[in-house]
Amino acid sequence: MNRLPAPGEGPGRPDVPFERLPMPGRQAVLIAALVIGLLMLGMQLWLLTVALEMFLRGDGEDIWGLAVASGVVFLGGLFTVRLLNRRPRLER
Amino acid sequence: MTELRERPLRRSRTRQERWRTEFPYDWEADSAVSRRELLRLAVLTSGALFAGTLVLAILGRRDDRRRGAPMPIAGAESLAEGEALYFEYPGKNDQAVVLNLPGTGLVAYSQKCTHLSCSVYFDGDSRELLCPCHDGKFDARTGEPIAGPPQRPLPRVVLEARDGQVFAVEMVP
Repeated sequence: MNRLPAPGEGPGRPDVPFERLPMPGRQAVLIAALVIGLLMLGMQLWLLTVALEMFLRGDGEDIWGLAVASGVVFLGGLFTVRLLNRRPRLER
Repeated sequence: MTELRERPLRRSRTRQERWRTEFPYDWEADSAVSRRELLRLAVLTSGALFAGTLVLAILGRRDDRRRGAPMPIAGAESLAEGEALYFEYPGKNDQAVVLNLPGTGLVAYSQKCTHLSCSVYFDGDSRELLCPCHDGKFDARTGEPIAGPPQRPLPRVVLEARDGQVFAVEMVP
């Protein structure tokens, strides 16, 4: 549980409503998720090119494994976005 | 010391002001993408990449062999060793080549190079299929690429002998 900062104790953003201020450490988590997500996107792009190569070669039966791996990455991304959209309970 | 410290500051401030005057930028009117929005966009892109891979997997499940109607190749039965004969299979605009190789017999391939679809031709001296566009070379016995940019083998045309005539039966990628 996180304690709410008192007025004037916050990170110096008077224009931003208190409810919208990021929790301590939240920004770092968001950036980490973004960096890992972009790396995973690169991996998915690589999986797609390998799948295309296999398709053109005629090894269509073996592409399912690549599709499953790509799907797991996508589901992981969805889960991360859902997790990051949740705001922790605040204690006044 | 004080003068030395202040002078560069003043100069840079003046430069900055001049820069702002020459290149005004309305930050309020700009729509910046937040990290959260970028993350959502990344997940959407991830979904699109997954969909692409899934489509390839589904398309790959169906039989890729392009079965045209069996088509006789006129003159293939009397083809001399080391010679090539060009024909069209499976469609009118699909060029293919049949080769009579010593020790192997008749083999046929699509003429479409697997690099950028130029037409390959048979070189009798080197016994290789050559692509003139980017110097790609294919082994005439197997259709496998042996030099140049092509990475995949040439699609093979399956041949059958019926009543003394050679028929092209199907194309295998």
